[in-house]
Amino acid sequence: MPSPEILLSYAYWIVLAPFLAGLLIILGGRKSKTLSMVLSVGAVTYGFAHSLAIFWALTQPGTHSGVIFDLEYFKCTQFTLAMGVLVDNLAAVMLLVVTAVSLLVQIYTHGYMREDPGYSRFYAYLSLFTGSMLGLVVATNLFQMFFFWELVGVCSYFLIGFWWYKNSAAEACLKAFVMNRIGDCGFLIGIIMLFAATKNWWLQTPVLSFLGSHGGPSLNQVIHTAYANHAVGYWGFTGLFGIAMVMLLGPIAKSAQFPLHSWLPDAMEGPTPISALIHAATMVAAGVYLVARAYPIWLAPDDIVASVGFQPGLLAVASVGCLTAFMAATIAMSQFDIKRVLAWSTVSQLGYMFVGLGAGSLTGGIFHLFNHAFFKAMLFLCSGAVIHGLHGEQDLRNMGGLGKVMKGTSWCFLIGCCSISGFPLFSGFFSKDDLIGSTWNSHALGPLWSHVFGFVLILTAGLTSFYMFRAYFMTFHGEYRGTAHPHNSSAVMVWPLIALAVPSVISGYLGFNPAAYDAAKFFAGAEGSAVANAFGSFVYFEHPRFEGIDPLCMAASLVAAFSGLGISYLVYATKTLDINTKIATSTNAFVKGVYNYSFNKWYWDDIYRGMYLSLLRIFSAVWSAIDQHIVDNIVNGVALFTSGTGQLLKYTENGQGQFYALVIFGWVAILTLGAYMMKP
Amino acid sequence: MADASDTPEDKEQKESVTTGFAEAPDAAPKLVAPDAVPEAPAAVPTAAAHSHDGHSHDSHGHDGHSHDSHDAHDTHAHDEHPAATDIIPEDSPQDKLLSCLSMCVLLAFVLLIGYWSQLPLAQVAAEHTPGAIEQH
Repeated sequence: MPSPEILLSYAYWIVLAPFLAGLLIILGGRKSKTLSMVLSVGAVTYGFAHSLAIFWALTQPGTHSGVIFDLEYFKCTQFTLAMGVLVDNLAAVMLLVVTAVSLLVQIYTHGYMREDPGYSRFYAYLSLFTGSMLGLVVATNLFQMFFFWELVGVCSYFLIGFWWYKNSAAEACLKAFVMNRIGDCGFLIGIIMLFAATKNWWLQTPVLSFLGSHGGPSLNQVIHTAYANHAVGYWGFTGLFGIAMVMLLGPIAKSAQFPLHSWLPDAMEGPTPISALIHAATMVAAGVYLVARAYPIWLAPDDIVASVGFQPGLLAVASVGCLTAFMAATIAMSQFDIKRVLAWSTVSQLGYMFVGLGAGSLTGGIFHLFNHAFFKAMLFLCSGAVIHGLHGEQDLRNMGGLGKVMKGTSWCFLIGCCSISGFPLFSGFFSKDDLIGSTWNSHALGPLWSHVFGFVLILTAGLTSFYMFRAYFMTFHGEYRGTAHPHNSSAVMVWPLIALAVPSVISGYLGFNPAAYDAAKFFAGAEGSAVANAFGSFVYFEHPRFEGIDPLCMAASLVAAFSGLGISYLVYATKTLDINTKIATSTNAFVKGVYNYSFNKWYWDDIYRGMYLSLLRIFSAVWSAIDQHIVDNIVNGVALFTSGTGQLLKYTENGQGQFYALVIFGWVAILTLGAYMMKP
Repeated sequence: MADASDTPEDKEQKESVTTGFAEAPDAAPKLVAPDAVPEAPAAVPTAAAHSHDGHSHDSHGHDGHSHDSHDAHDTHAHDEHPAATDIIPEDSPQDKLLSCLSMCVLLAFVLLIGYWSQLPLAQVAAEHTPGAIEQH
């Protein structure tokens, strides 16, 4: 076994390998399906193995984590740009998530896309996408992160529009691209403004470095030192708060948070494996990771917190997440496309992560990201197996009874439902409980908002349980309602599901410490039961995040989750509670309105379309006026001037030499007289 | 775009949608009980609902593998980008190898989480409280 230092020093190969694989496939590997698959799967297998080794290395005593190297590629007196590799515990966890999920998705892809003519092209895109995400994870500074951030966006554009000949896919990838560019604009402007506000602190060292390199300061040190010395130039706290809000647009768009959320459900037009990858480990995880990695940007100095009673930046993060979590859950309740139900659930769960980060539970947010990656990838791959087995059918109303045909898929989907709903013994229970408990007891949000957000999260837990089990019962329970002949998937598509089912159950125990459930501490409330767990201890090995157990929150979220399951069971399994018919036959405008509001996704697409068209009309009217009254007049004026001048001058062109001589004499006389008069 | 092979729904979408955003439905979707679909297919709001979503089953086929889609793809893509068209059978060595790889990943997960959970936990300092903000 190589030494920990050697394992860390070669970490850049985890990023390079998928890029090389993707390029090799594009350059020639696509001529052979097997070669394409071997290159792509081989690269990410290496990445996963190396990530495991890095994890082991970081647990060894004395191992130095942090910036492995930072290559300065642009240096001037004002600033230095660098690109390198940062491997600390947070990055190590993300490397594990990205490589593991990507590997299983790529294995599944072989079975799912085997008949597709674009098989090799898909593997090339997958490799580039994975490489881009890994590059983002190990970025040493904000500029490097932005570079890979954009690469992730470009690759997702190609993958969502993989079946570009379908109008819906072409539109979906365009929508994703445009909405992400809006966020990226905010991110880039925020980076530039942050650099402008703190440029004096980065002289001769790589700018905006997360952990510092070449003897320079870290982002955390710069911001806190600047606050401590009241030396943030003319920006002040308000300016830096504004920068944080502008920069937040990037994570909002990438992680599909309100108001830039609607691209993610439409991204379902891509092949299911890429839906799984986007929703689980790459792309949407990037936004959450950025907030966690650049956390100091959203933190206010102590005097501000003391005066207002909460963290303004974190409150904004949590507000966005809370609204998104609730909104997406209400929308998922009425959707009939199995992939879209899962897509809206992703939006909702990402909202949970944002609330966790906003509440100060940094480890809780990342822990939920870690667990969510496994069970959401599994749920998507299960939906892909169902769609594959039903020859393209995605409508839940045309499914049912598939548990008899697809036993393995059915069990895996059930595990995913239990996990995402936060049922005890499943991974989602531990991370969701951590998030809700931390939010309820958050000092960062203040007493009012912590309770409001905590209540909304508990309510959303109930909705989550309802819509996930609705999807499960409509798909796998009862009698088959479709016309296709369902068949089971091949082994190569089922084994990745089983492999993902394992962490969907057991990964949650990393957030579990039996001491937290000690009776005396349990009833002592959250403060008394604060203990470290395995996940928190690793991610912040020097400063562990304390995982408080709040029995009230835990009980409330469990009641909500079981209520959601119970209602779903009565409506869709036993059909003793016939809510759907009552809604369908209701003449009550409020009932219909509420249903339509959910079914039409809170009308956000219509609102955006209206806004887009309104802006287009205003823009069109303004430019029309400019064109008609300014541009046209300039053009017409030039023509008129030329024509008029020509009309006047034509009389001077009479062909008489005496006249020309007279003109020349006249001008000589005028100029001579002028020179004489100007003589000093 | 594949004009010749487009389904009517695709053509309709192509004519109406150019913004990249999903079109609003002409009318609010009908409300029906999901389980009533097979018995009363005429009452299912599929057309309104799915065209609103920018999604139609006819054009989806096998999650994009319909004959229409394939025809369009063949016409436009194959000639420009020659690629391997052979289909790897389900009982191929590649499939078996990948299945084995999945099992290895499963084993790796178990070992990873087992190893991780055995690591010593960090000590809790008295000044920290739940909800307090931890920084890097």
